[in-house]
Amino acid sequence: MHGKQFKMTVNELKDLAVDAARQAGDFLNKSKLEKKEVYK
Amino acid sequence: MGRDIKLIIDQDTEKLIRASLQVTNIPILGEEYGGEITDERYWVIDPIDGTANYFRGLDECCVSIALMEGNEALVGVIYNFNNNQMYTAIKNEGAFLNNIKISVSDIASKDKASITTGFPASETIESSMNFLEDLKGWKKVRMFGSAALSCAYVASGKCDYYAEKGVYLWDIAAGICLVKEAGGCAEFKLIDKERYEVVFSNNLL
Repeated sequence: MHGKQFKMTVNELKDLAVDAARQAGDFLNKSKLEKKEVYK
Repeated sequence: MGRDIKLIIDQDTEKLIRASLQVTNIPILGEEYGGEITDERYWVIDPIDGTANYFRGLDECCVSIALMEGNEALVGVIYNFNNNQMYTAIKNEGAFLNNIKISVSDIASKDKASITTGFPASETIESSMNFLEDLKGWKKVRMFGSAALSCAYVASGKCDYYAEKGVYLWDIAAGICLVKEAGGCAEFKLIDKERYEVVFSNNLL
């Protein structure tokens, strides 16, 4: 179902997750004025 | 659905995180677009933990990413983008806040300890009374509205105990790794199809 997994160490995977979280956080900070509720 | 709210930006942020992690070809379980728990490695992501806080401009919200293998947490990352606090942990390598090692508190009695929790949604009066009864005896009770940050606060010794019923794996997956690696105890059990009851502590309470 999933393609071949790259040989990354757990430490490298942590670094990737940190980069992804920081990128997401930057996006969320920039988007603070564009919040739109879609459903409750 | 309880009292959760959903924003378009939850979905957009999950897409962004999925795109970043896609290079690993490791399956992804996320709050917005689903996925599966497997016995092999999989990512667990919550694009915004504490969406209601984010919606109202409160700072208790974060991005949470974990790498799991079955029920074992290998990596935990919790990022409060409001104050640039990055909590990270790797199994057997410790827990860190902005690259500085953190550990749970050494408070051993309830009357000196802070508990963080969430008020249970859609419960009966009786169960609400039981919930309130359980809060008696703690020095301080806090409800931050973010399970992931509650875990991070236990891991960093800012709180001593976190207990909640009805949370999802994406709320607590990164926190499992953080609390364990900070010297604490992380207990979680499935109480329905996909929700958990959790108790995270400093191992002394």
